[in-house]
Amino acid sequence: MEILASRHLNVISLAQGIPSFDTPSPIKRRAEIALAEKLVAKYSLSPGLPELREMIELSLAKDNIFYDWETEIIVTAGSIEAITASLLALTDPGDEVIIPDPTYTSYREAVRLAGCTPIFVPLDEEKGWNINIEKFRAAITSRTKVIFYCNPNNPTGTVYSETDLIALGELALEHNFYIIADEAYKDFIYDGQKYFSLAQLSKYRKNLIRVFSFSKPYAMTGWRVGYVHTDASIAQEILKVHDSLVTCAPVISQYAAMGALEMGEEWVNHFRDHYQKRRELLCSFLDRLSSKCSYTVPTSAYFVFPKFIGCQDSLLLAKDILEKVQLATVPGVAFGPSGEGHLRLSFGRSDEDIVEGMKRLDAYFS
Amino acid sequence: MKKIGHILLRWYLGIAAYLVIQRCRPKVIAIAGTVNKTFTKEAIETALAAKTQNFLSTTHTYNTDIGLPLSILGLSSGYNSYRRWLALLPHVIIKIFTRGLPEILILELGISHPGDAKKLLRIIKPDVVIITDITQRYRENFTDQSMIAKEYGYLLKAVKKNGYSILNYDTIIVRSLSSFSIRPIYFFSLQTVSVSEKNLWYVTDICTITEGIQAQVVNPYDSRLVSISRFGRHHLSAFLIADVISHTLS
Repeated sequence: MEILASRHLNVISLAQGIPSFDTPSPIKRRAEIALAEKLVAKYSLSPGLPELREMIELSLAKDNIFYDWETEIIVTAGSIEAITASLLALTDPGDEVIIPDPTYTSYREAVRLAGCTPIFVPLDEEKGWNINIEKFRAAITSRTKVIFYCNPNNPTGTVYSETDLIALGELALEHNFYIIADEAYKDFIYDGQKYFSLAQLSKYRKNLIRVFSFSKPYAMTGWRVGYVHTDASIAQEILKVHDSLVTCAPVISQYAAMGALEMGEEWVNHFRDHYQKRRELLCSFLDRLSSKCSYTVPTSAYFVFPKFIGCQDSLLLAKDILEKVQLATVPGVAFGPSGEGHLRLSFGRSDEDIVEGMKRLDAYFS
Repeated sequence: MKKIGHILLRWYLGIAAYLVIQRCRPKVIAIAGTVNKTFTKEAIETALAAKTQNFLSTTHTYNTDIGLPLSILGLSSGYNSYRRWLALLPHVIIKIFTRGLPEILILELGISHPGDAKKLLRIIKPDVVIITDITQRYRENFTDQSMIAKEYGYLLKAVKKNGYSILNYDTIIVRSLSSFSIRPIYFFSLQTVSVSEKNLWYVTDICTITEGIQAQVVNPYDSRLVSISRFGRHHLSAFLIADVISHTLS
C-alpha cells in the first residue's frame, strides 16, 4: 500500500508501522561519539558487541528474563533478521510453522523463505483476538516445527494472557517443537495490562526463541538493530545462520542500541504516553463511524484493526479509500485470512496525521 | 565552548562528590574491569543484604568521571541536554551539604582510556578494589597491554590501609596486577587451580541446571554447593567476589 500511496499527491498514511518520533537525541549522540572515536568501521563479533550484549542481559533481567550474554544473546539486524535466522536454523524445508491469524504480514514470507508451510490458526475475534488453545492443538501435526507468535500482536494490539502462553509452552514441550516469540511491542502496553513472557519461565528455555527489536520502543526503525535470545544450544545454531546472512548487525547501530539501553527508558515512557493519547484520539473518530465499522480497543502496540461492515475484500476497500480520499491503510487480509474485512490503522503517526487521516476516512464513508 | 563546558562540569561534579565522600567517609568498594561490573555489584548487594542494609550502590551503570559523582550525589544525568544540566547545577551545591551516605558504598569504575583511573581516584579512595576481568574491549585506546595494566595498577596502588583487592586469577594480565599492590590480594577463579594460593576462591563441577547455574564453591575456609538462578559463568565470578566480601566483612 505504501508503494501505491507514493503515487498519490497529498497522501496521509496510517499504514506503516513506524513511529512518528525521531530517535531520541542521547541515542544519536551515542552513535556520533562512536563514529568520532572510529569505533564503527570494523565488524563486531558476530553475536554483537560484548558490552551491548551484557547490557541486554541486564535489561532482560529487569523483566525477570535470565539469559547468558556470552552464549545466549545475539544482536541482529532488526527483529526480522532474527526471525529469519531462527527459522532457517531450526526448520527443514517441508516443516510446518503455525502462525496465529491475523498477525504480522512478514512472518509468512520468512516462513516460506525457509521452505516451510505457514499454517494459519485463527484467533478468536469475539474474545478480543485471543488465542484459542484447542484450535492450536488441532493444528499440530508430525511436521509442526514451530509456533510463531507476536506478543503484543500486530495488527490486533492483543496482549496474550499468561494462561494461554503457558498452554502454548506446554504444547511445545509435549510435541517437542519450538516457539518463536516476537515481543517488539512489549513496551507499549496500556490500561495497566500485565506483560508476561514465556521467557520468564526457565522450563521453556530449550523450546523458546525470543526476539526483540530496538525499532519500536526507541524510534529506531531505520537503524536496523534488534536481538534474539534462547538457550545456548539453540543460539549457537542461529548464530551460524546470522553469521552467513549479515556477519554482524551494523556496528554504529549497536552503539546506538547501547545508548538506548543506557538512556532510553525515559523516552520509552514518553512515547507510551503519547501513543495512549493517540489511541484515544483515533478511537474517538472510529466511534463516530460505528455504523460502518466495529473494533476492539487495542491494549498494546499502536494499531487498531476495525472490521468494516459488509466488506468482503479489504484490499479493494483499502485501494478505494486511497484512490478517493488519499488515505493509506493496510488491508486486513495482508495479516492472514481472518483479517479479511478489516483495515489496519496505525496510531504511531502524528496527531495531525491521525486527525486528518480519520477526517478523510469519515469523508469516504459519508 | 562545548569542550570547556564538559571540563567545568566534570570538575564541578567531581569536587562536589569528593566533598560528600570526605564528609560521610563511607567504606568504598570499587568495581573495575571491562566486563561483569554490574553483575558483580548486584552479587555484592545480595551478599551484603544478608548482613546489613547500610550500603548504597551505583545508580544504573554510572561509572565515568561524570557518572560516578552523579551516583555519589544521588542525581540523575542531564544526558545531552544543556537545559537539564543547568537545572541540575544548584542541586549539586545543596547535595554537598545534605547528601547522606551509608557505611558502605559500592561503585563501578569505568576505565576505557588512559588517565581514567586517575580522574576517578580524585573523587574516591577505595577500601576494596575489584578487577573483574580485562578483555580486548577498549584495547584500541591503549598503546599496549602494559599501558592497560598500568592504568588498573593505579587503582590497586590507591587502596587504603586495611583495605584489599580482589583479582581475577584466570586472566594473566589481571593476576599480574597484584604486583602493583602492597595490600592483601584475594583471587577468584572459575578453574580448578592447582597452585596453593592461600587467598583463592574458586569453583569446581560447574553445570547448567534448569533454573540456572550450579557449582561447588571452594575457599580457604570451606567448600559448598551453590546454585545461582542466572545463566552464564560470569555469575559465578560475581558470586565468588561477593563471597570474598562477605567473608572479610564477617
